[in-house]
Formats: sequence, structure tokens, C-alpha cells
Amino acid sequence: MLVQRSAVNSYERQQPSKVYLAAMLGLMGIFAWLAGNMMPAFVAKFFVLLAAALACAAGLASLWSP
Amino acid sequence: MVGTILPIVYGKREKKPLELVVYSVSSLLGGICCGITLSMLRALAGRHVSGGRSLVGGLTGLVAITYALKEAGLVNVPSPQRTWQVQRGWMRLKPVALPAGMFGFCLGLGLLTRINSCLYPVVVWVVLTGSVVQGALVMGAFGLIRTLPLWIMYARSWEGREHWKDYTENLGGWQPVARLVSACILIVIGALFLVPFRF
Repeated sequence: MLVQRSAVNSYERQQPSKVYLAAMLGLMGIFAWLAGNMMPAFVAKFFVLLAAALACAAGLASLWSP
Repeated sequence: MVGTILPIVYGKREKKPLELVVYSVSSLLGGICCGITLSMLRALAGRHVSGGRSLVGGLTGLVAITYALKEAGLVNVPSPQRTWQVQRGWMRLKPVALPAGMFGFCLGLGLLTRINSCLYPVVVWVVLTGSVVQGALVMGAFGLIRTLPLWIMYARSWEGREHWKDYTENLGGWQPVARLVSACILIVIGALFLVPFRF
């Protein structure tokens, strides 16, 4: 538990800058888009799975709702 | 909100976690009901709404990327939601499975209380797709997965490792990390939704 708290505190102290965050998210998005473009028909066929994955992420993240 | 639900679904150490099962099933049903209702909105709009698969994916992807930037604190966009909390007074109802079911159904609906950013693109996709089956599947997954952390807490507490109060005390501290993870998931899935959308 102590290790967990230490990790969270460390993250809060050293929050990445907005430029770094934007660059990181941008790169992630571009790589995901390029990877998806290798098999666009396959990706489009499984939109329901993408939506389900987002719904699952929302379900888990709702644990942090106040 | 977790502090309200946990005493109901894990108030007593019982060998058969009836309340937790009722909570989970109700949450699943709530998610399915929400998915069906949302997907029927497209049918109500009738011919006024039209668009192919790529347009649906494009709009969903744009919403996902916008909320990814919001979760990362880079942009400020409105996130319409009700800040209603499940009623703490329901905890006094008997038998205990009844409030557990009511909590589960209300939270499984997903739209009555606080909404996580990951849910907005899902709602957009379900409404635009208009498929009752797919809407029920996707929102049902939301309702079911929402109960997963409680099952993990139950299992760990049953083994005598940690009490659920320890979890609730520490959850708040992890919120910045959870938001960053949400942003990463949103940006990746949003980009994948944009794949068939030709610029």
C-alpha cells in the first residue's frame, strides 16, 4: 500500500507537461491509425468490438467517480 | 458513490454473495436497457439521419479523440451529465438484495449519474448505428464490467488480504493515473474508428 501511495504521489509531483502529453497522445493516435490502415476492412467490420472496449474502459473508470 | 454501494454488496461476510450477484445482474440489465433505448433513438429520427459506416465511425472517432484531449487536460469541452448520486437512504430497505438491485440497475444505465469520458463516444456510436442488438451488447458489457472491481474487492477481502475500506480510501489518489489511462485508450480507439473515414 505504501509503495502504491508513493507511486501516485510521485506522479502528481512530476505531472508531464502539456506539450509532452500532446506529443505522446498524438504519436499514439498516429501509430494506431497507421496500424488500423493496414487492414481497414477488418477494423471497420469490428467497430462493435471497439465500442465494447470503450464501454468496458468506461465501466472500469467509473470506479473513480465521486 | 463507491462508499455507498460497497456496504450494500459487501456489508456482511457471507459465503454466498447474494447481494453482489443481484447487483451485477441488475447492472447488466440496466446496461442492456440503456443500449436498447439509445439505439432506438436512431429509429425515432427516421429518415432524417442517414450516413454510412465510415461516417458513423468518423463521428465516433472525433468524439473519442476530443474527450481524450479533455482527459489529458489539453482542451476544455463540455461533458453533459447528471451529478445525481444513488440514494444513500435506499440502504435501509429490506431485504438487502432490493437496494443492491436498485443500485445496480441505476448505475448500469450509465447515464443517470456521473459519466466517464470513455462513455460519450460509445453513446454516439450506439445512437448513430441504431442496431438494437449491438447497442444492447455494448452497453451490457459496460454494465457488467462496471461490477468487476467489486468482485475483485470481494475476492481479495474474502481471502483476508485487505478490507474494502482500504480500497475506497486509496482510490481517489489514483484518479490522475486513471484519467491518463482513459486518455490513452480513447486516443487509440478513436484513431481506429477513423480508419475507414477518408480525409
